[in-house]
Amino acid sequence: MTPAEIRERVSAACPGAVEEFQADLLDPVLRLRPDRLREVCRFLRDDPGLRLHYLRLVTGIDRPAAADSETPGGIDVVYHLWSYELRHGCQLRVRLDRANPVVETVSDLWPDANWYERECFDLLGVTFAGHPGLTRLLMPADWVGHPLRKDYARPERYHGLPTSRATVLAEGRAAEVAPAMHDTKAQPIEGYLRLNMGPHHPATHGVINFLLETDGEILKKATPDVGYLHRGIEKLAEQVGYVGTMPYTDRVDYLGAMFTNHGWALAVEKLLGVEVPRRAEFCRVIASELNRIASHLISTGSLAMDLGAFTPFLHWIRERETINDIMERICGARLTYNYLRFGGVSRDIDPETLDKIKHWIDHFEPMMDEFDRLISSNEIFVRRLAGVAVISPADAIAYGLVGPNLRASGVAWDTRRDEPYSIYPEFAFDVVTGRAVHGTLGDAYDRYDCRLREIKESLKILRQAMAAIPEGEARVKVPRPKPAANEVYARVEGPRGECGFYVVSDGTEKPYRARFRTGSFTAMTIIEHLSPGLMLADLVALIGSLDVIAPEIDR
Amino acid sequence: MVPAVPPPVRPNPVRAYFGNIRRAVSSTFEGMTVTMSWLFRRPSTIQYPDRTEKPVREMLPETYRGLLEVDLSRCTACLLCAKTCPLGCISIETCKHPDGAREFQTFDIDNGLCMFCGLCAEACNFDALAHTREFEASVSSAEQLTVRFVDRPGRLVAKAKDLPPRRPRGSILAALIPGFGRRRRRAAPPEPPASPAPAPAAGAEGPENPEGTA
Amino acid sequence: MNIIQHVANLLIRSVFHADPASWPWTWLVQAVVIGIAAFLAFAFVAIFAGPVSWIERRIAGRIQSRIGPNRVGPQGVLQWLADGVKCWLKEDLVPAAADRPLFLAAPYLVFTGMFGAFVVLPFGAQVVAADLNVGILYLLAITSLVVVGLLMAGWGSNSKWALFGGVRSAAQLVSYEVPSAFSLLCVVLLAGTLSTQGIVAAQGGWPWDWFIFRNPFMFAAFFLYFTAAIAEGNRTPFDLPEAESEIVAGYNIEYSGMRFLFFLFAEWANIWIMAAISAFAFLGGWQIPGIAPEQIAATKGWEFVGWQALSWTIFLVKATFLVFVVIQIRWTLPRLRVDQLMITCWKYLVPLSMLMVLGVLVLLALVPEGGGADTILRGAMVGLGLAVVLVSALRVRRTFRVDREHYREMEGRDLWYPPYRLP
Ligand code: SF4
Ligand code: SF4
Repeated sequence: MTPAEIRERVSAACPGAVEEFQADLLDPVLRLRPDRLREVCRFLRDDPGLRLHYLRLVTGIDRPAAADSETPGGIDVVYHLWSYELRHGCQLRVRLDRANPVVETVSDLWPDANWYERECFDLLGVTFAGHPGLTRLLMPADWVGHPLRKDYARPERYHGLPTSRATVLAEGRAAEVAPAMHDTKAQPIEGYLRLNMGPHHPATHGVINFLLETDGEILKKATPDVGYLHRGIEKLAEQVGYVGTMPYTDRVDYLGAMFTNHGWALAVEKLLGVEVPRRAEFCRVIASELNRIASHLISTGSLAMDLGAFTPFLHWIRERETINDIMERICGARLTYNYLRFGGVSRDIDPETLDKIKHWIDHFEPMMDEFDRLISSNEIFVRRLAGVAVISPADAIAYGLVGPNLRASGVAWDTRRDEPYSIYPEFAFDVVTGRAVHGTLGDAYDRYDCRLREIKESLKILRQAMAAIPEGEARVKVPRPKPAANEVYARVEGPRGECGFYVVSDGTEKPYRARFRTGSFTAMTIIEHLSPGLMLADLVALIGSLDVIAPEIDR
Repeated sequence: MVPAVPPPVRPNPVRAYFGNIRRAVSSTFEGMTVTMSWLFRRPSTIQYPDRTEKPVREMLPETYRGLLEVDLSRCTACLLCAKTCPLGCISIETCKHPDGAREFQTFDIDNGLCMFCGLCAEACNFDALAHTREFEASVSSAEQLTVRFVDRPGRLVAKAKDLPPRRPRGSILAALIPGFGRRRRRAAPPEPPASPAPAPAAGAEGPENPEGTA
Repeated sequence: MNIIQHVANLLIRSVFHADPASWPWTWLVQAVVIGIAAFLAFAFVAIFAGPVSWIERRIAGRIQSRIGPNRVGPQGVLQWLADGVKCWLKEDLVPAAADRPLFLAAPYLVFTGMFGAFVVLPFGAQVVAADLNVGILYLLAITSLVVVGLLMAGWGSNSKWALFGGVRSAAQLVSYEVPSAFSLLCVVLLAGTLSTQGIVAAQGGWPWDWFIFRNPFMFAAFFLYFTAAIAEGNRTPFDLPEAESEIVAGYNIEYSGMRFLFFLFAEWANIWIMAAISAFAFLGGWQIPGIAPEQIAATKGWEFVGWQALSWTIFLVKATFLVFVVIQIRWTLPRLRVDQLMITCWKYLVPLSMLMVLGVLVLLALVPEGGGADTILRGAMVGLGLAVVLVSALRVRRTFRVDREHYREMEGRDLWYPPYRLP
């Protein structure tokens, strides 16, 4: 169903709720009356002909009144919805008063809205009435101001700590700094032991804090407390422009920089209407699939390490090292690739590198069997994961899980196949889904298993791509991008699932607003839901099996 | 698309009991044969920094994005690089002589800020600014992180029409920062037999800049 | 007559020119000799724990495709010394809110428990600090002292993570005492004595004289004991008390400097102790093939010393082999969960080890030692043991060969790099 048809249905069911239908945007938007939002949302979710069960993204855009126009400013809250079953989606938007932005929550309709709304509150100051715990998500609880507002001014100091590099360099070591006391953002529960797992804990995969309420080894609740790695990349994107943001996207997902590169490039290319040469597409696919393998190696390996087996992790690190060496040849860096450019890639892949990839694949394929023997089929490993933290398909969709986490629950959805981009339709590969290897669909083992099988699919794609790579240019020259005012949502299938880039342009060299939709963000929201009754060691397995990456959550 | 969840199967408890033992024993055995085989395989690590076959810098591909260096004899001070850099870590200042020639005042690159993204080197049309394969960038204070390429006053800005050839990559950085990236190395390990003798550091004895005063 | 009396008598005869049997100060000389022996044993523990740590790190390195420590001393053999000195020089931190006496005493208690075990280990034909007639019981008792130390460390640190570690270790060690005791009971049944030297003497030098190959139940009992002992030593896959990815470092999280080192000391000494116990209880201990203990005891002078040294070496080789196995297990397996740990113990190890005791009893009654059936059983078990070794060697070879060609193509070098080639 197209957005226009969805709009028809909404207008029929909830007359007067749609204020405006912005069909001229790249991704058409239904502008709703704020007080009718919940009604429309409920209809969209529950109507058997629409079934928009997946809330992709909630975010806000600050639009202060321009000095010369009479139109009043406001804050837009944008909702991206999607239906996996019917393969359609739509964007909603409400415009709120800038002085007092209040809208009703939808976190009871889509549980993953909980964190999206908290982030929106945190960064833009939008109040979501009826939200169960509307506290700051990324910034410290005692932060003043909402950084994504256009008129936000950064404070010079926070608890005596200088906030700019120049001040730090000028002062040297600060003489006296009051420690920043962070509120823990979650209330302790009477009668349980409060345990701070993190922010520096070996199993949290980055700087994340889990506030545990435990009864001995058994958890009552685990509440993630994030934001320790928040660098405001989206704010930075508004400042450094389209070209300059590319290297910053490397830092969003440090294990899958090629995908954040790709997503950003796709979004801007869509805004500009640029065609990418075929050879460049192949380069992109080859680099992406190598990167996907590297990321899955880390994720499966570190899961084994979290469960106490160090050796498999180092063996996967060794294999990834070869990929890193190849990446170094392809784009000059091992982690922060910054490989893609609008209209192509920064460098062509030379035949020698292709040879190296081929040799590595030959060596690596038997290694996967060895890895299976070493760890995947190990009884202890299986027992630690089988039946642990089971996510039902419905939950997986409702909590907005994406990528291998979603597929492990049995939902066969792969952006590469289902919302094709680049040249993926030309390759034959399977979308792997959970197969309840050890009895339960959607348990931690299925998620692990899915990743391993996805590596094999990536190898397939790599072989096909290397065989079919055409001659030609790897880049067309694109002038400094200056897209007209528009909005676009571009997505790629990253190793942690859908990696989406919502970009609002305004005709300048800098994006008006950019929101990176990452897999880890939503994966974190489900932990609180899954944690009751798990054991401490299961939580480690859960975090590892969800493959969360701290900078992806915090951006 | 959304599958039904199959009900869990309950196996026969006796078979499950002995099956567990069997699987535990056999999978442990399998795992141990794998780890055992690694005792006979070549380790994949190298002994950085001092016992490698050749300096790591030379193992890196030409494409590597290491520390930046600018060949001022080719730089036209067009400022493209400085404008492209998202962080603003390149600062270039020139002044004009009465006769119209331009002279460099500063050409600084702040390595403490740089994220080695390569955008600036890509923007440079004269192959003046480029990444080297140098990566051992530690210095003892934050100020030293800024590399000042204008090594003496009176260095004139190049003309785009007649540019001298690009000096070997790494040589400028090596000349600018003595001892930079050259650690004491012990003898290379005995292996492999056919390895060539360690080559001298890339462009370590690159020619001292002959032009620039023109 | 054990070596202590031997040495004491020698001293009395040569230095004091008295007859040890009637001399009134014989006990004093013996006490001094015991004291010296204890000191030597202490030094031995220290000397042994260190190199074990080095061996472990080198082996772990190779297993993980790394090199391992190879810089301090030739091939890094002195790495443990450097680490020891480093730890020794570090500040000995005591958390402000810790229970000071408990916190300070805990590492020593843990160490004492480990050290005490060395007293009854039969290193050679006559080399044992004290051949107690309740040797095995003493071993089981003294090693459980460790629990108290770990609990004290966990509680005294006043840290939640340490407490988790302490409580986990208490539950774990107490549980795993049971299957390990039952497995050793099989040995005691066969040997008919609790004395450690008696157990070794009841076996022989050849593999078919070892208890492990006596019958299938003993074969299984060995593995049960080995598993339980790994658990008692807090080694992977049973290293829950110090699971770094769950409770960070467990009971020793607040320790630093020398006290921290004592925990590690105890851990590495413990690997060696459990390997030694398995070696003397199941693998024939120091027994030299082809020569009976009585013959050794009857020798004099340098010949006596020579046989002692040989027996000691045999024992060390067996124990070191088992140390290697423990290390390899550690770098192969993941870690159990707490409930699985208990399930493994109470649902698997305990009933199975009881079964082994029963089986050994039944076979003792049915199969007279030295009879035809006994010979066949032993032969079959040795064959089984050989088969296990052979099959694993073949598996290792296959694993290696699968990768060899591809590796050569990828790296341009041969994959073969045997352990004796030290980079
Ligand atoms: S590499 Fe990137 S960050 Fe560094 S100077 Fe060049 S453009 Fe700036
Ligand atoms: S280095 Fe290149 S881009 Fe930068 S000012 Fe010089 S010529 Fe221009």
